[in-house]
Amino acid sequence: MAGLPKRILKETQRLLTDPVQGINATPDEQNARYFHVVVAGPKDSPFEGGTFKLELFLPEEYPMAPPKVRFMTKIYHPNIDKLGRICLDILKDKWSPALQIRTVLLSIQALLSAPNPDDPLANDVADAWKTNEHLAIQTGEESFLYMYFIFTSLLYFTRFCLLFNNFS
Amino acid sequence: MVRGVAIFKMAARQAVLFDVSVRDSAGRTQIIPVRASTSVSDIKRSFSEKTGVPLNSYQLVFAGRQLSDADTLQALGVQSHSTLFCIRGGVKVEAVPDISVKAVEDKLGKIATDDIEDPPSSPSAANNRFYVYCKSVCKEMKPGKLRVRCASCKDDRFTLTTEPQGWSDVLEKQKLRGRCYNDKCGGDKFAEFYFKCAGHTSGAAGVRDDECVALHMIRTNTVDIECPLCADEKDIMVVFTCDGKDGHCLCLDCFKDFARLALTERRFIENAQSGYSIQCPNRCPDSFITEIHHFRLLGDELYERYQRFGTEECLLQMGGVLCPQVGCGMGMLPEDPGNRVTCPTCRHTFCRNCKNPYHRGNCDAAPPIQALAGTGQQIDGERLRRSRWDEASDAFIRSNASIKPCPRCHVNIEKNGGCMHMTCSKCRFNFCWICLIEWGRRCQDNHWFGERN
Repeated sequence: MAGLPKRILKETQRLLTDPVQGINATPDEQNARYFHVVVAGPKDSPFEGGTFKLELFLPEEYPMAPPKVRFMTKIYHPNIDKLGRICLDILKDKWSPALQIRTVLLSIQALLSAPNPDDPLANDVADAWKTNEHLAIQTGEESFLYMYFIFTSLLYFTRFCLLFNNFS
Repeated sequence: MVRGVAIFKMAARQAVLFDVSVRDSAGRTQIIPVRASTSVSDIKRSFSEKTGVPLNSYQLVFAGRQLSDADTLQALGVQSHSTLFCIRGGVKVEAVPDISVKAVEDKLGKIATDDIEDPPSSPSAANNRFYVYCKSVCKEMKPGKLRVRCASCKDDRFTLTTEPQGWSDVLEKQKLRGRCYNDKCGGDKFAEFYFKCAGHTSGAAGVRDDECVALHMIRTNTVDIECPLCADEKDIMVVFTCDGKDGHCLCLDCFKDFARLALTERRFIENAQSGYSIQCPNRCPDSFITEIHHFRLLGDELYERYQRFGTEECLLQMGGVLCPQVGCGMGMLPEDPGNRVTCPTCRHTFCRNCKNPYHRGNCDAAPPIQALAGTGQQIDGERLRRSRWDEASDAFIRSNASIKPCPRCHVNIEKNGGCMHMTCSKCRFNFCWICLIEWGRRCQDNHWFGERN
């Protein structure tokens, strides 16, 4: 850990000794600027019960430049694309050196609870979310993979057909 | 042992002889050699011996306070080359509230800590100072001295009736009152505070007007606050005013980095209240830096850039244009609403929209610069050199795929990473790097990161 700024040391220490509920961030053994992160799906959200792996990297300019964060687990969310890239203002132009690893991860957790369909990265998901939140929540719960989205859509379609048949 | 050395040093400091000036109402000045332990009555005695003025007929005033005979110079914060003012008669000392300029200076240097109940006493606590930017002599940040004079006649023979409680009392005009002892002015008047540099002696190097600008955001870290950016405890902190009181802070080094980055990335914001400025790192809405001399701390080169960017930003907001000629950059406010603009400095004529040399018709169809060769026109050497430079730079820009002009203001923008959603650092236009049109959902859908999502 030689040459690591005091701020990063302190943040790492605090993340390990006083972790945030539902967030686990551990530095890589080889590279103290690289963190393995596991975020639990927030309660009362479509992601409840799921665990999501992320990678977080602190660039040389940190804290003047934002950390680089990416979802490793595929996730069905309007603000996260299929490569796990996150659309979150504080990771780009709204970054402030007063923010920390902790606050960034909390914001990502909050993004899972409150997706922002008006600023989407994956537009098909955003449209589904806007037009039929129930369906999207179901989809989110049942699968974190896009493949499953198609599968569940088909499932819902079949159910709908069956329902329709019962009425007729 | 250490304590012994400290006491010895203190004794040594008290024993050092230095000069103070005493000025009477006629403007005559007597220089009196003193020590830090010298009392006011001793100075008055020396002054009376030299001038023959009866001892009981006058009082001495220093930095807005009438001095009592028992005060020592050290307690009053009188330093070498300070000037004491002599007022005839004067009210009895007991009637004047005890306003020690040193106590006020200490207060100004501290970080207000409403939320810390029992601030820890650090070794630097005894040494808390406020700071000024010394423009005339030292040309850097230095500990400051607070002085007061009459707001009407600018005479230093003035005593305060209320002690300033903080920076707002000192910086806002016409807030505190006092008594002026100038025969022509006199009576109950508004006080005017001003600042001097403690880093050089007054009147040094022949500079008469050596008043300084107070850097009210710079404070001594008396409460052991950790800088939230570097996590170190530094001696000097920069405290932003958030929500009308002392708010978020960071250490001086981090402040310089923070401001330098915001400046080079052109993230400063031009607004009516504070000019071209930045907010605290937490972006509190009213935390803009209002005293621009704080940006002097970035060094001459960056301060010059700060001034240039600020002027440009202000001009562009007013609807002005900047001359696109290399090495010119002159700002102007053309009255003619047409697209043809001629720079008054370098006489370069250009199109207001695309910033290329002036052309008729649509900007997209603008013809390339015509060579003057064979036309028989005289070419000035300097212009030729410039145009060659310009051509080379144009060629470089055109050949480089990472440089494209902003679709709105046509300033050249280099993309060095990130997604396709670009924000022009000059006109703040949000556009797509691939389509060069306003950023929208279509681009977000199709090629946010360059390939199909």
